[in-house]
Parts: sequence; structure tokens; C-alpha cells
Amino acid sequence: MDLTAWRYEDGIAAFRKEADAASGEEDWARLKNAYLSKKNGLVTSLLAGLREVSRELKPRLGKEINQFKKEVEATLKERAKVAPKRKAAGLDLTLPGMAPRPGSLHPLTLTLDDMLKWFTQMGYDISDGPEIETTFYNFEALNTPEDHPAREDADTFYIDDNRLLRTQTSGCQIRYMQTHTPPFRMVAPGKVFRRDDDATHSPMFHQLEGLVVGENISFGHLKGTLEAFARAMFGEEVTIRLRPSYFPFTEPSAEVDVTCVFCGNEPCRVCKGTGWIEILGSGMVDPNVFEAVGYDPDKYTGFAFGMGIERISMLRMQVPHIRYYFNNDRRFLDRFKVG
Amino acid sequence: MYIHYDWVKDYLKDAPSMEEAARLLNLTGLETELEEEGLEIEHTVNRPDAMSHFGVARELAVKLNGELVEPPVYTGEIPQLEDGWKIETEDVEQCPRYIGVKVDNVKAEETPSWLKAKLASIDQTSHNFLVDLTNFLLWEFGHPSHAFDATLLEDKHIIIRRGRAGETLTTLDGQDHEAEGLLCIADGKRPIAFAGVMGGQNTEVSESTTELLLELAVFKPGTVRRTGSKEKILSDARHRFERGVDRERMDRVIRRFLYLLLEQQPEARIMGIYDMDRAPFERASIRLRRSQLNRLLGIHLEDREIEDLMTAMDCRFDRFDGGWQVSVPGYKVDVTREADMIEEIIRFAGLDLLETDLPEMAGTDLEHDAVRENTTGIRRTLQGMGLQEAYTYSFQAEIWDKAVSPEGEPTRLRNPMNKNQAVMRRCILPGLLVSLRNNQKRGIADVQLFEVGHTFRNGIEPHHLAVALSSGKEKSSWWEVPGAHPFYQAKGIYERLASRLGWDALELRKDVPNWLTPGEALGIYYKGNCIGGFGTLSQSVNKACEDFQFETLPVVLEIDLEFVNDLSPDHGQAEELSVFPGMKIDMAFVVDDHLVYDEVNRHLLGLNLENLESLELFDVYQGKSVGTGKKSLGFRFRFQALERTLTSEEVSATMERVTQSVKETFGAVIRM
Ligand SMILES: [Zn+2]
Repeated sequence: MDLTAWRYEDGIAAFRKEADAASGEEDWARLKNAYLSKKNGLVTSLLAGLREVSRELKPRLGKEINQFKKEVEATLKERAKVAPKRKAAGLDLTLPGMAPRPGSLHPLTLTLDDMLKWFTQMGYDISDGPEIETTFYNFEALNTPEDHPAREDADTFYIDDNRLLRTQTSGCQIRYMQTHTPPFRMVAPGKVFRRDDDATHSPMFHQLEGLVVGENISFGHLKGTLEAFARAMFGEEVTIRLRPSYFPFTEPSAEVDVTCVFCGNEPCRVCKGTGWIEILGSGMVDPNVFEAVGYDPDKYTGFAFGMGIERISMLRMQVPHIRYYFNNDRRFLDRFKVG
Repeated sequence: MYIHYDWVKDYLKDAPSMEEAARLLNLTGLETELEEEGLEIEHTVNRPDAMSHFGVARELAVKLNGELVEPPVYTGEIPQLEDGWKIETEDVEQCPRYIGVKVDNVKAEETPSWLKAKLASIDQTSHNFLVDLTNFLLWEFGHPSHAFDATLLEDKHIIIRRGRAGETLTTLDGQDHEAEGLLCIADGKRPIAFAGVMGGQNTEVSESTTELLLELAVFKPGTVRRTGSKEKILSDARHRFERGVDRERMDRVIRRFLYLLLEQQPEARIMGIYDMDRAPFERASIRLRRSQLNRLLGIHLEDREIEDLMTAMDCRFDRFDGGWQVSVPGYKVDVTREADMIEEIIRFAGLDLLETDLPEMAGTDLEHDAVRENTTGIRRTLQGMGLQEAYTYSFQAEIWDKAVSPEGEPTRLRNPMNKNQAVMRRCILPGLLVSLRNNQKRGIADVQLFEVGHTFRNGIEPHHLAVALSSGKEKSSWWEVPGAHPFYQAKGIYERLASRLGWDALELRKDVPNWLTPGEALGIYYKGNCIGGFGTLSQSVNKACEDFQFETLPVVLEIDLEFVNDLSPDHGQAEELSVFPGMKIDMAFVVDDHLVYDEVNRHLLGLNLENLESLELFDVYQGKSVGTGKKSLGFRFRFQALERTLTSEEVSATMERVTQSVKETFGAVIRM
């Protein structure tokens, strides 16, 4: 082979062009043969041709041909690594497919999305509020004046005398009523904070608040709505029960239990053998709350409810510890891969 | 609160089994768990009426419509207390009523065994008979009382007043307190008790006591709470006064005390009673409308059922057309309005009577929620790119916050639980970095996190997005080709979001926020203001505290979303598609390493090449063959015409123009 006209740039460009165009095993095998075959591959020919060139050209050409050989070999070797060889048995059809690694959405996002989907279908507006609240929205407007015993139980983080980290999303009720006229239905999800940090409490967690106001909204509407919601979350077979309770901003008030989905009324650990699991607090809007926002309590009635999103998620996804939600350990997040 | 069930049975004619009692109490709103011999009840704050054994019995009696048995009381004469005694209050609102009963010839002897056993059954220790008797009354009826040694009271005078400057009080638990400003019981000279909270040692009943003054009073709940919480005293008395006491039963409580005292010490002499009652108790009167009852509950209860329940609760009532005027007994301290009365009726009638129904009403006018729409789009996009969503706390360590936001001050919590939760975050990034680091500490090297959430700055709460990607990352799939600098991953994420969400109005600049490494990062700008950035984390942040300290700097992104919420993506427009074949030409040329892609790309597009359909960068190559300080850029040109097939001559001519132009402009050397 006459090498006087051979130039590295041209040679490598031609190789790269072929390599770029190659697709599939056959192309790669052909390329390997054409360039690296011991018998008549281009590299072999080049090396043979080198013996015949003049002394002046030899050092430069020798260097360039070596460089050329290295790059060709490296490229073909890299491809061999990437693309598994087609063996007699064919492709390894069990290798994972080529797609970017699946990402994941946080289990609280997934849970909240399911909840909001249901409420949106039922015609609920979605509202929002600040995480740093004033004492007015977190307490006073919710019928919890300064000396109220419920205020001490709230374990509040304070910024100063007037501002705090909201202990409940219920302040969103007030903000919504101040800017809307009944009838309406709304839900407001968000972060809430309490000075409590142990095996079953996190200083930050999430709540979903709900409020329905109209001229003839009854306790039965509350019960029917929450039963339909519980079935959407936990399955058509569950039922709910209401137990009288107390919240400053509802009267009458009730805790809502759902039949245990883990034992079907047989004793189990989740429900401590009672067959019931508490999932949320609720009640009819207290007349004082209506008065605080300028609604006529003789004209309007309404119901409100609030629930922990972690609680719903823990039950549905069987999450063993509340702190898992905020540690962001990849082994935990990997459980919720989608795509 | 632990309630011994045998004790409850003292006040019930036909007591149910303890299991049944627990079930019934749960149904009426007292959260009750069964213990070995008793009930553990968690009282909501509105239920002081059930914070005693008699109170629990009363709850059961109403629910069962059973008979409540009142324990025996002293029925004899009680004379007025004379002999110069005087009881007064400086503030009727803080203390409307204060009863003092003086009994002489008493002994603070050992408590009889029946009473010891009663107190022991609820884990109360015995002191002496007189003190134990007041404690028994508290657990029987729920009304705190206090026994003073009457001979230690100065000037035969009791006054309810605020503590004065310099006054102190040593309470029964041995703690010393400043009394100034706090509501005290005082004798003629000094404070002798904190009203409703705890008595003082200076007038304590002891073995030598022979004359006793029994206090039974009413104090304003808020005042009791403030004293207790300021002086950090948690007492059974405070717990009850804070929630309210039964003002209708006070005379009976006094007579019960005297009965039990005289049973044990018949020789005791009742010297008299001083009843300072400045605001006599009146029952709350509530107008209960049948229409409101039906409207609120959504069901119709029979008149008989309602009236029977009210009678069982000891309510008195007059019927009127369309309802009842109800007078509410004193033990229901929280029942003052119609809604409260409706709750009392339904909680005893049973919430299982409610019918399940859905409200019929016109749908709400749903408002467009740009923030929610945006964050949903961001979450889905990033998840699709292989990132994992994280949630971190809204509060952070001050040192984390300051590392990323050295200017200005964060919003501080007044009472944080620990130093890692001390300030409200101004950026999300530090929380994600800590999560990334914690994963690494557990041996999980390859982590790609993002979070969307509120941040806190100047009284507003802007939504931010933050991303943190561990770099120096391992090859994670068999087909993956070893990658470029991780900066380009952050850039890819930004570009994908920008196109998906329509961030055309944002621009990228080399000036970056302090938390990024210049030269390996870009700043994000909107109308000239920096609203974020992405690229390699800066070494100064990495070294700012021990919670970061990455060996290989992660790649990060943070952007303030408030500015982009109103932007929306252009979904694109279609145009006529050519049916004629196109032509693809690849061209690579060597240029100076410092020349940036963007400049070359803009130059090529600026040539306005005829029939150019698309232009893509398909290769960047650096290596010996192109020479040091040089790089090869490979561009792929696609040509296509709408009305005809292009000839290779005209495309060659066009490419020749490209060749000449890049040679002249950039000194490029064509490789192929
Ligand atoms: Zn169960």
C-alpha cells in the first residue's frame, strides 16, 4: 500500500463516519473486519505499507498510524462493551430496557393528589394559606381566645407575640370565608407545625382542611360526605362511625373512625383490636366562627373537617414511621417509583 | 385521667359492667380505654363535668336513663361565721364567690382506712385526714377545695387580691415564688395561696392543727391558667379551675365535707360559714328552636325523646311554639348557646342516628390556580427525568441558611426545639443537601432529589423549586455511556422545565448566586433580577458547616417560582410539511477551545442558509488529533425544500458558503 498520500485526519474522519453510520451487530462486525482483520484489515495494510515509505516520512506516519490504530481499537472495543454480543442464542431478552431511570413522587404528594382528585370531582375549590400565621387566624377567629385551654394544648412554635407557625390548616377556613360568599365547598391542604417530636409525632406534618357552607347544610351531609370520602380512600367496603368530640371552632363536633381495613373487625395491631381507626376530626361550623367573618349564623350552616395527610398515607401505604416522610432516604423514596 | 370503676358505682343504682361503661362513654364523647380495675379517660377541654367519679356516673346515668345516687350530706344548721371574721374580694370578676367554713376541735389524725383505700385506688397518697378529705372531694365532685389552719390566719381576714411588690409565697410543694401581680388568697398580712392553683406552707394544716378554715371558691379560668403557667405549677386544682367548676353544687360540696368530717370526728364543732357571693349563679337560659335542631342535624327527633334527655341531664325547660326555653344545670359549664344544647342532645341520642346524605348545591366557582398547576407540571416533569421528590422541614439550622443566603436575616423561631430547626428557610437547597449527605452516610451515593415548597422572606412565602444531584455518580445502567460534566445535567433539567413551562422570558447569565461555582454554573434572570441559578455547588457553601462537606461537589438548582407562575407555555404552531426528500450533511471543524458553542450556532443560523430545515450539534471532540487548545464541533445540517427535490449541487454550494464563512470568522479547519 502506498502511504505517501495517506493522512491521519482523512483516515480517522472516514472511520468515524462509518462508525457513526453503523447500527446493529452486523455493521459492527463488518467494521471490525474491515479495519482490524489480521489478514486484510486496513490497519494491517497500513502497518505493512509503512515499511516501504521514505525515511523522512516514516516518523510522522508511524506516529499517526499508531494513533489511528489506537482510536479504531478503542472505539470498537467500547461498542463491544456497550452492545452485548449477539450469541448463537440471540439477544439476552431479559436485560432491562433502555429508558431513563424512573423518578418518584413523594408519597405525601401521591396521597394528597388522590384526595384532591376526589374533592375536585365533588366540586370543591382548592385553597391555600401561609405557613406563618397570625394568632388571629390560627386561634381568635377560630373561637379560641387567649385564655382558652385548647391554646395550651396546641404546642405552638412562635415567631413573636402575633405570629406563629400554624398549628392547623383551619385558618384557611377563615381566609376563604372572608373572600367568598356561600354556598361553596373548599379544601385547603398544607404544612402544619407542633412542638412535638417523638416516635409518633413530627414537628412538621400536613393537613387537609375542608369547609362546606350553605343555607341548609346538616350534620348528615357531613357524615355522608366523609363516608363517601373514606370509601374513595380505603375501599367501598368500609363504613365510618362518628364519636362526639370537641374542637373550639365546631359545634357539635365529632371524631370520625373508619372500619379497620387491616383486620375487617378482627382484632389487630393497627386498630388495637377495636376494629376502628380514627382518621379525622369534624363538626358543624360554630356560630362564633360565622360571626367572626360576618356571616349570619341563622341564615347559614356548614360543616368543616380536618385530617392528617400522613395519617391517611400511613394507612394506605403501610408506612411504619412518620419520620420516614422527611428523611428522604432513597430506599424509602424508591418504593414510590412511577414510570 | 384514671377513674376507678368501683368508686363510680357508688353513685349508680344499676351500674353496667365496666366494659359496657367504657363503650358507652366512648359513644358520648369521653375517649375511654379499659384498664384493669378502672377507666383511663382522655377529657377534651370542654368536659370538666366528667373529671370526677360522680361526673362519670352522671354521664352514664344520662346515657342509660338510669338513676343517679347522690351521696349523703350534712343536713343540720350551719350558723353565720361571726367573731370578727371577714372575707372579701378586690375583683368580683376574678373571684365572684368564696366560701369559708370554720370548724374547731378537729384533728389532723391518720386517715381512716376506707378513705385511704379510696385514694389509693387512684394512686393518691395519704397525708392526714383533713387534707385527704379535701382531696377526696376533688375526686368525688371535681370541685377543688383547700384547708387552712385557721389559727395561722392573721387578723381573721381573707382577701382575694393581687400580690404586691416584694411579697413571696412558698407553696405546698416547697417552691418559693414572687407573688407580685398574681391573684392570691391573702390573710391580713400576706399571701397564703395562689388562687385556684396551690396553697402556701405558711398556713398549712399540720398535726397540731385544731381549728380549720375550709375554702370553696370560684376563680376565673384564664387567671388560674396564667398564674399556673407563669409559676410552672401543674396541680389538680389548676387543671379543674382552668376548665370551669360547677357553681350550682357548691353548697352541697360544703355539706358533703361536713358530713364526712363529722362521721369521723363527731366532736368537731361547726363555728360558721362566711359566704362571700358577689355574683350569684344563674343558670344559662337557651332558646332551643325545633327548626334549628332539625336543620343542623338533618333528622327529626321526637319531642318525647328530646324532653326525656333534657330531664335526664337535669335541664329544666318550658315549651313554646316551635321549641323550648331551656335552663342549663351548673355542671354543664360549656353549654351556653343553642348549638351547644343541640350537641348535648345528639351526643346522648347517638350520632349513629344521623342519616348519611350528600349536600345538594350548585358547584363552587373553581378558581384558576396557577401555582398548583405549575408545581404539578414541575413535579411530573422532574419525576419523568428520573429525579425523586423529597420533603424537608420548613425550618433549618441558621448556619445552613446563612451559608446559602449570607445577606439579610432569616425569620427566627422564638421557641425552636433544636438548633437544626431554628429559622424559617429562605432557600430549600440546604435541606436537600442535608438529605443528600445523609443518604451518602448510609452508603447510598447516587441520589437525585427535588422539592417544591414555601420559603420565607420579608413576610411573604415565595414558592421555590430546588434540585440537588449527587455527582461523581456511578454508571447506573448497562447501556449508559459515560457522561459529560454534571453541570449539563442541571442545565438539561432547567431547559426541559423552561420549554415545558414556557419560561421564554427568563435568561441565563454567567453571573451566579454565591452558592454556585462561577464558570461551572449559570444564573437565572427575570427582567434583570437574579431569581436563581444552577450548576456546581460552591466550595464555600460546601465547607460552611459539617452537615454538608461533600467529597465531590453536587450539582444543584434553585429558582424562585413566584416570577414564573404567570408564564405559560406556547403549545406551538404547525406549518406545511414538505413531501420532497431532504438532505443531511454532517460537517466537523476544529476551532479554538475558548470559542463557545452558542457563538458558532448563532453565526451559522445568521447565515440564513437556503432551505435549511434544522441544525444540530452532534459532536464535541477534544484530543491529540485536533491539537491542544483546540476542539472539534460537529454540526448536522438538514436541508429540505417545500416545492421540489434539492440537487446535491445546490446543497454543496450552500455548504461551501458555510465552509468559507467559518474559516474566515473563526479560523476553523474543516475536518470532513
Ligand atoms: Zn384492625
